[in-house]
Amino acid sequence: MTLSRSGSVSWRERLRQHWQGRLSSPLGKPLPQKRLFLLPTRFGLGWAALIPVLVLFGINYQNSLAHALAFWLFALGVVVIVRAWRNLLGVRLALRLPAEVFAGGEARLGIVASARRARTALRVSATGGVARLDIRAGHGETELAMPVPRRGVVRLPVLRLESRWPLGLVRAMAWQDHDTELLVWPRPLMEEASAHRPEGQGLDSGDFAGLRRFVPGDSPTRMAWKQWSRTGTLATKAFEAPPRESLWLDYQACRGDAERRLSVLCGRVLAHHRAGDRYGLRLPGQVLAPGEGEAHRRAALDALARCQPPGLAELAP
Amino acid sequence: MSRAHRPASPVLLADGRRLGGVMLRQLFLGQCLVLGLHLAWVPGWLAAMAVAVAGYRYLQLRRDLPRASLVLRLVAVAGLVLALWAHYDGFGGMESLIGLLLGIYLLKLLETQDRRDARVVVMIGLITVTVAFLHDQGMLMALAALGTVAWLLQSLVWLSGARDARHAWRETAWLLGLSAPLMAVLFLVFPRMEPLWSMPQMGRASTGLSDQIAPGDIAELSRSDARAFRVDFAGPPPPPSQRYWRVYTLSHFDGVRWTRATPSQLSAALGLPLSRFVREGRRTAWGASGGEAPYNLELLLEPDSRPWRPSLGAPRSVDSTQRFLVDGTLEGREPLRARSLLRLASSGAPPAYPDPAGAAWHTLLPADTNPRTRALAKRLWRESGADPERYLRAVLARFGEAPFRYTLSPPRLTGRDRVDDFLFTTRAGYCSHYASATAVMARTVGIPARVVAGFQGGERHPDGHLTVREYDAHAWVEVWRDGAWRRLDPTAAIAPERIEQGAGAVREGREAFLADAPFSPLRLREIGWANQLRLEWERLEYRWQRGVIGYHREARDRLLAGLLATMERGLAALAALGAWALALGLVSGLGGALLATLGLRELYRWAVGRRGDAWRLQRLQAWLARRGRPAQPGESPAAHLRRLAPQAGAAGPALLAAAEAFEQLVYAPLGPGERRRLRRRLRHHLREVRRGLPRGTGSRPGAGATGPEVAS
Amino acid sequence: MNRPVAREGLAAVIAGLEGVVLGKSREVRLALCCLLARGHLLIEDLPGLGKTTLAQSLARVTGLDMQRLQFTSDLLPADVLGVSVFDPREARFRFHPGPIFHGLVLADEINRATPKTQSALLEAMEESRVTVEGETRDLPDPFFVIATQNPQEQAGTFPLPESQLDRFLMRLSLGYPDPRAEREILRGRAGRVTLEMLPPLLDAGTLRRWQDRCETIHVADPLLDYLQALAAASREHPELSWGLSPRGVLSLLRAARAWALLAGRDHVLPDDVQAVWVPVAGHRLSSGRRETGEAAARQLLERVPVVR
Repeated sequence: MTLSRSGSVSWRERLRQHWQGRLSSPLGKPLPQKRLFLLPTRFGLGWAALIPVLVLFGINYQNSLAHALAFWLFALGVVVIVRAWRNLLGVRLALRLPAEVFAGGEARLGIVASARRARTALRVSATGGVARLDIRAGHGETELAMPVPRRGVVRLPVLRLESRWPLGLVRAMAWQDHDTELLVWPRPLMEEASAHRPEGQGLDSGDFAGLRRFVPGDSPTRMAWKQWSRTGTLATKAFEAPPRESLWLDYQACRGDAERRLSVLCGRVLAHHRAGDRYGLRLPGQVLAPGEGEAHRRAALDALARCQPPGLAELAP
Repeated sequence: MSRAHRPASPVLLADGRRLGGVMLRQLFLGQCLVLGLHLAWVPGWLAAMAVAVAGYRYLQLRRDLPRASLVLRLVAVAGLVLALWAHYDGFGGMESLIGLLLGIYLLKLLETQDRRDARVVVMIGLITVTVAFLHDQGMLMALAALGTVAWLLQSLVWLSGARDARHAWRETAWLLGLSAPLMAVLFLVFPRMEPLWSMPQMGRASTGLSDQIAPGDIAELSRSDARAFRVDFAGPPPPPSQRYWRVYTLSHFDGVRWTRATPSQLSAALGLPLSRFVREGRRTAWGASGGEAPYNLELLLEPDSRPWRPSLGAPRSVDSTQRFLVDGTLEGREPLRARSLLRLASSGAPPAYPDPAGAAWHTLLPADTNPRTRALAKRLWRESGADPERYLRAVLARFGEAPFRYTLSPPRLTGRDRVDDFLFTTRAGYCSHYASATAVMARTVGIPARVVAGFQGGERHPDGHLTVREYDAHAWVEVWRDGAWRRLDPTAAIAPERIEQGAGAVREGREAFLADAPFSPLRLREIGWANQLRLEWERLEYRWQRGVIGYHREARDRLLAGLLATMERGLAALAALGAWALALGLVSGLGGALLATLGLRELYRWAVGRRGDAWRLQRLQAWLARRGRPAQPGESPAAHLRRLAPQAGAAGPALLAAAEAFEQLVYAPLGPGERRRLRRRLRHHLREVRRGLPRGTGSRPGAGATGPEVAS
Repeated sequence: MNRPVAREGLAAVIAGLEGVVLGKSREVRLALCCLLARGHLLIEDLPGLGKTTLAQSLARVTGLDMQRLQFTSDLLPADVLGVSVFDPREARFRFHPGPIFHGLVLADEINRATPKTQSALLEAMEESRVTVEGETRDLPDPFFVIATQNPQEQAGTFPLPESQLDRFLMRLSLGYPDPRAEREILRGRAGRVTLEMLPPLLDAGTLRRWQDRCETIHVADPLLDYLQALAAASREHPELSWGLSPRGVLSLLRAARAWALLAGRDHVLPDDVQAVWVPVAGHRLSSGRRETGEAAARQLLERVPVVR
C-alpha cells in the first residue's frame, strides 16, 4: 500500500510539474494572456445557477423587473470575468530574497509586484505560504513566509498568483516559474558557544604595546624618556588594545552527526562575530582563513550552508 | 510591521477567517435595504427581528461570545414560522412564502461567520430583491431595488478585498456601468415566453368596479384615486363627453339590483349554445365584419382579480386573443397578474348588432315592484304618444328639471321599491340611481334596455394619454332602438359637469370625493405647480410602465421587427450612395475624428501646459489650507504633503505618492518620456488626494498634533 | 520611486555610527555629510557630550587614521604641523610630520590655543597642504578636521575670529542626549565598548569615490533659485551685519548634495537644503552673537518660500 501510494504521489507530482511547466510563465516578465487562467469559484457557480432561476421566476410571473435583474446578474458575470482577467494581465512579479535565512525558521520572501494600472487583492502563494498585496501607483510589495526546514541550497517553488477580485465569482490564476535558489544557513546551535571562548583574552586595553615616534601633542607623561636619553630619539609609549587572537572553528573538533556539527559551527560563528573576534573555519574540503567583519561572517555561513559533509566512515578515526 | 497581526483585508478579523464588524455592518445594512423594499407589504415585526438579530451579532462580536448555538438557531426559525403562520393563517398564500424567505434571510445573519456565509447572505438578498417585484414594479420600486443591488454588490466587492469604501464603491460603479448595456440588450432581445407553469399568486384587491349595481347601498361607488387603466390614442382622442369605457352590461334586474348575466349563465338559461354569446379571437365575430373602428388605442391595464377589459364603445380588434362578448364588451382569458398593455381598435359607439338574448330578456322586470314608477312610466308613455323617442326624452327631461339632484353621498334606500323611493321620495343620487331608474322606466314600456357599468372620462395628461381612475366609474343605460344599441346617460341630464369635466367637478357631495384617499396627491390639484409635478411624475411612471414593465412578447416582437426594418433601410440607403461616396465619407469621418482628438489635446496642453507642476501643487496646498491643513512657513510642498499623510486617512498614500512624484518631476534629472509619465502620475495622485481626503478638519498643525515624545 | 544610488554602503555607515553615538542621529548624519562634502566640522559643546566618541567612531567607520590633538595655550604651530628634528647620527634635520598628517584630526578645544596656532591649522585645512620651512607637503586625502570648542567664553581662550569660522563647512552642537538615549548610555551599552566593535566599513579609496560621487549629484534649476533666494534674503536681513557670501552658498550646495547622497538620491531636494541650512549658514551669518546667527538662519528658512 505504501508503495502504490508513493508511486501515485510521484506520478501526480510528475504530472503537476509537467503541467506547471506548460502553464507557467517566467518570473519578472509581464503576465501574458496565454498563461492566465480563469476558473469559476463555487460562489460563481451559485451565481450562474441563480440566473436561470430568476429568469424562470420572471417568465412565470410575467415580471419584467425580474427579467431585468436576472439579465443584470448575467451581465455582471460577464463584466466580472473581463475585470478579473484585466486585474491580473500584465502584472510583473519579482522576488527579493531575504538577506539571511537559518534552517528551521522561515524564509520571508519579498514579493515585489509592479504594473501600470492599479491592481487589487492579489494573492501570491507558494508551498505553505500565502501573501496578499495590492498594486497602487504601479508598485506593491508583500512578504511570503515559507518554512525552510533544511540547510543548503533550496530551489524556491513555483509561485501562484491569483485574484478573486472584484466579486469573487471567478478566480484568475497564473503560475510564475523561476529558478531562484535560496541559500539556507544551518540552524545555529548556541549551547556550547560560551565554553569555547579562547583563554588568554584578558589583555587590558591599557597594556604597554611598544614605542612609537613622538609627535607633538603627545602627552609628556607618555614620553619614553629613557629611550630618549639612550638613543636621542623622542618616542612615545604606546598603549594599545591588544591584537585580538584569531581562532579556528574546526568541523573535525565537533561531536555529533554532520548536521549537528554544522549547526554548532554556525552558532559559534555568530557568537564570535558578535564578540568581534577573528576566526577561521575548517570544513571538510574547505578552509576559510581567519578574518572578521560582516563579509567574513557571510562567507563563513555560506560555506557552512554549502558544505557537503563526507560520509561517516571517512570521519572515523 | 509584522504581517501576522494585520488582517488580510479590512472586512475580516485578525484570524483572517471570521468576518469583522465592518462586514457585518455591511450585510446588516444590505438586509435593511432589502427589508425596506418589502416593508409596505410584510408584517412590521420582521424589522424588529432584523434589529434583534443584528444586536445579538453585535454583542457577540464585542464581547467575543461563542457563536449562536444550533438550538438557538432552530428556535429562532421555529419562532419565525409560527409567527408567520399566525399572521397569515397558514402558508397557502404567496405573501406568507415571501415573509418566510425574508425572515430566513434576516435570520441567516445569526450564523454568518466567514466569507462564504457572507456571500450566501448576499445571494439570498438578491433573490429576496427579485421577489419584491411581485409586490410592485413601479419606478420607485425599481430605483430602490437598483440601490439595494448596488449595495449588495458593494458588499461583495468588500469581501473580495477592497481597500476602503471609496474603492469598493468605485468598483461597484464600474461593474454596474459596464454591465448595464449588456443587460439592456438582453432585456430587449431575450425571447419572452408565456408562463411555463402556474405559480402561487399574490392575492389582489379588485378595483371598485362591480358587476352588479344596487342603487341605495352605501359604499357603492368607489371613491378612491387608484388607477384603473391608462390609455394612449393613436389618433385624436374623443371629446370628454364621448369617453364611455364599457366594461359590463347588466341586463338582469331583480327589483333591487342590476346584475350581470355571464355568457354561460345566459346560454344555460336561454338554451342557446355558448358560441352565440362569446367568441375568442383577435377580431370581433359580431356585427358587420368590416365595421369601422375610428379609435385605435393602447390600454395599460392595472392588475385585477377579474378579467375585465374596458373598451371605448364596441371592440373591433385587439392585438392578442381575447373573449369578445356579444353584448359588445371584452373579457380577458384570465385575470391580469401584472400591468399589461392591450391594443384595441373600437367603434366608440354601443354595438350595432342584436343581443341573442332577445328583446324579451331585455324588458324583463319583476312583476310586483315599484308600482309608482310603473304608473309614472305608463303616464309618460301615453303623454308621449307611444313614441319611444319622445318618451325617453321626457324621462330624461324629468330628471333635468324636477328637484332631482346629483350627489355622491345620497341618503340610503332600504325599502323593497327602491326605484319608487328614489324617484318620488329622496330624489338624490348618483349615476347608478339615475341609470337604474331610466332602465326600469324604459323596460316598463317595453323598450329593451340594460345598464352598462364602466368608466366615464379620464384625466388627460399633457403628453396626450388619459388616466382613468376608480372614481371615474360610471353607470349608464343602453336601449335597443332601430337595430342598434343607443347610449342614454341620465347623469348627463342631471349633472352635465360630471360628464364634461369628471367626477371631481361635481359640487355637491364634494366631501365624499376622494373620501377613501385622504393623502392622495390628487388633492393638490388646485395648486398649480404641485399638480404640474404630479402630472409629470405620472407621465414618467406611465412611460415606465408602458415601456419597461409592459415589455412582453408582443412589444419585443414589434421592437425587433422595427429594428430590422430600420437596419434594412439604412443598408439600402448606404448602397444607394455608392462605393466612392461611402469610402470618401468614411475617410473624411475618420480624419475629422482624428483632427478633433488632436485639436482637443493641443487645446488642453495649451490650457494647462503653461502652468507648471509647481502651480498644480500650490493649488492643492491652497486647497488643503482651506480645509484647515495649511503648510507651515518655509515648508517645502512635498514636506507639507508628507506631514499630512499620516492623518489623511484614505488620502495618505496618494499624498505620499504625489509628494514623491512632484519632487522627481521638479528636481530630478529625467528623460522626456519619464517626465510625461510622472506628470500624469502627479495629476492622478493630486486628484486622488482631493477625492480621498476625509471631510473632518485635520488636527491643527503644530499645536496638539505633535506626538508625546515631542511634547515631553 | 527613488533610483537607488548604491545606498547600502552609506546606510551601513550611518547605522554603525548611530549604534555608537546614541540618540544623535541627525548630528551623526550631518557629520558624515560634512565629510562627504570635503568640508570640516566645528563642534561647539560642553565637555562630555560625546564629541570624542563621534570623532572616534567616524574615524573607525571610515577607516581613516585618527589623531587627537589637544589644543592648549602653549601649543605652537610646529606642534600641529610638524617639526624638523636634528638627527645627530645622520647629521641632518629630519621632518617629523605633525599630527595634522592624518586622515581625521580631532582638534580638541581649539579656542584654547593662540590665534597663531589656530590659523596654522585653519590654513592647512583650507589648502589641504602644509608648508613647513619652505617645503610644501600634501596632506592626506581624504582629510577631515573635527574641531571642538567650548561655547563659554572663559578666561584664557581665544575665540575663533568670524572670518575664520567659514573655513568650517558646518558648525554643530551635540547637546544633551534625549532621555531614552541617556538611559541606554547609563545601561552601558553605548560608548567605547561598542566603539571597539565597530567594523571599518569604508576605506580611504571608497571614501574618495563617495566624495567624487557627491559632486555629480544633480541640481535642478528650481533648486538653484531656492538657494539664491535664501542667500539674497540673508543679505537683506536687518539683524545681520552681513549675509551669506558666494563661498557660503557654494558650501551650502556642497553640503546639500552630500545630504542627498546620504539619503540615496541622485538629485538635491529643497528638504536637503533645509536640513543642512542651519549648521552651514548659522556660523556664517554673523551678527556678533552665536544665538542670533542661528536664529536668523531659522527665520530665513521660514521666510523664503521653497517654490515661487
